[in-house]
Amino acid sequence: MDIKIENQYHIEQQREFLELEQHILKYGQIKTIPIFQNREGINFILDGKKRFKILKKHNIEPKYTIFNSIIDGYKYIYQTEKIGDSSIVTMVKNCIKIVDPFELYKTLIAPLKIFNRQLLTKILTIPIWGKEFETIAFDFNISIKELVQYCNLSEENFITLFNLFKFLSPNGNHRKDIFNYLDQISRRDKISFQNILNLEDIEEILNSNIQNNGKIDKLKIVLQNIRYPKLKIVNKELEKKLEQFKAPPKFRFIFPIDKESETITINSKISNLKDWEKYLEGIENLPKEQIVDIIETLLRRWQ
Amino acid sequence: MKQFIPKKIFIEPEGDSTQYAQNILNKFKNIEKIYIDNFQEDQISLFNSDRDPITIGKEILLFKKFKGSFMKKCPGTKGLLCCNYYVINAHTNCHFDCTYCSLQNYLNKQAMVIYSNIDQMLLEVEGKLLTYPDRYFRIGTGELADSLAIDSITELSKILVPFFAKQKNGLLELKTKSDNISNLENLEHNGNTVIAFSLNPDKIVENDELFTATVDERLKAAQKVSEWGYKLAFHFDPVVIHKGYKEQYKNLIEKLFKSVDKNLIKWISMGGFRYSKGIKDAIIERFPKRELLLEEFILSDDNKMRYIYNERREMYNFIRGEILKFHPKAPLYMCMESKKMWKEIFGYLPHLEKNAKTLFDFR
Repeated sequence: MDIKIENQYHIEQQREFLELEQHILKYGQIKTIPIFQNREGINFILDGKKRFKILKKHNIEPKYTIFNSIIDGYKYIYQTEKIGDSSIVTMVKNCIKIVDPFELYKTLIAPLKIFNRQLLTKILTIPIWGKEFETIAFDFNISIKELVQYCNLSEENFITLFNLFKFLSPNGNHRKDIFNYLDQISRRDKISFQNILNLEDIEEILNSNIQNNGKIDKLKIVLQNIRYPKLKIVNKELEKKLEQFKAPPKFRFIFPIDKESETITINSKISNLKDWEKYLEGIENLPKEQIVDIIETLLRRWQ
Repeated sequence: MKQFIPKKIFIEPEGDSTQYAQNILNKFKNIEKIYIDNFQEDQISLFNSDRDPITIGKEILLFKKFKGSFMKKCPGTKGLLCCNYYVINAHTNCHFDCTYCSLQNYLNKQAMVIYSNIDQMLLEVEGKLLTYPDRYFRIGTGELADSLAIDSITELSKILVPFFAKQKNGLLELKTKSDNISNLENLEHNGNTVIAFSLNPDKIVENDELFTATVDERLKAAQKVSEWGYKLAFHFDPVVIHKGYKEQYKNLIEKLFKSVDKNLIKWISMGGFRYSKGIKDAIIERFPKRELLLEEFILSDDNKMRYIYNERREMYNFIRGEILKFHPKAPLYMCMESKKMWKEIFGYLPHLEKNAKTLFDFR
């Protein structure tokens, strides 16, 4: 005996579909269907797939509102329709299937300016389609805090930032540093991210033939110097002292030019016994006064 | 200035067992009182919303009994000059919302707390003062709260000021950003209470000291309490370095000395804005548009970020110079600064005696 088990969810969906169909046939299409048209001219329905199907089924040409920016599309939906959190999550889920990761960032981030924190958490924990055990947050290695920061950017800065990230593919830590430098310089000097990236030194780095990792390191140094011009001067003083310092072989001081650390490290790369002997001998003869001077210069930055 | 009106009142066991607590509760007859065993355990769900938990905490009043020692030494920092100051916390948290407030770091998900057993606090303070009759204690209530922000509700000043008036070796400092001074009138203070006002330029007050009294209101209040015989103190802390800050602090200092009699000033402090990682996170999340963090900071030994040394030195020299123009013998000191900075700014290291009646041997 065949027993057919009806899927309750499916029944609900059918019922909703039929109700909507009757409504449309009685009153016509009330709201336009928001469409995102990408650069290649391909259209994506952002909301209203059921309405689209119904209208097509009855040979009625749907009315659309076309957006060239997916961000504007979502803003339109969010602002014009009273949609619940679950609908927003569904929108984002649908979006995952049609946009590439870069676009997805934009799709996620843009509406987040309006969305609340709980919803943001919900969106970030959507399992990625086809990778059921991974979430968006995990896949893109971004924290909620980082996202909240991005949410405060203007659309222009946001796009510049993600174009840069797409170009350089920095890891999480580099991304955080680059974002912080750009954001802080931009707010302090009241200039856009693009204006910063257009600076001669930076353009030169970005257009050079060196590999991405090298570009990232150089970019960070330039940005750091722009962000901390006064600290740069005291750091230069320290660098000068370190240059004058005659260290034993395989011995060097490393000090963090980065402002958030005060540690000075003695670095030694020793791989054989002979080097060890030289190294130990060198340590015994270290010019103590010079070291004290270096450390004092280091501390002078704050103490 | 915003007056504090709680949206919810919670009472832990013995939280309402004293007349002090009852008097406060009677002022909120229309607000429902919820009796609970432990606020932190029972009511944590209150904070699980999309609203900022620190803001939520500022709307809740919690009465509880304080278990432990009320009187503590001000937590100085290793390597920095400490002024032997003591603090008592009769209530914690503050309904004002300063962007730079250090309470954001460790009073997260906490209510405005009023400790019911202040009689115990007074006994403890008195015991300490009697045990060390040769020492002179300077004690403040403004570490984990603003001393006067909710004084119209607690009327704590009416208890503390007369209490200190009777002490031979204790001085009370009530530190505030409010102009809540009405309770101080007609109190017997015997010169043992100093009313201190935190000062910052109008722009900083407007943008970074939300819901507090304006500079003019604070100075008017200072003038008034001085007429009632109280000595005054002023705290330029935190001094916030920003574009045009010198001009703004210059104007502020001029305004201060035009408003009050310099001879009534017991002390003036200066302290540069500093922050821990927790505060940085709170500022970024709660006040993303604020520009407080856009200056140059460097990590200090106490894990706090401070303006770099040269900047701080320039700032202190400037503020000191402006103050000295009006008050050449101003009793000026720095809060949480190194000995080296002291020497550079003042030309000497202060001698700190435990029985000193003033904070430092002002020269």
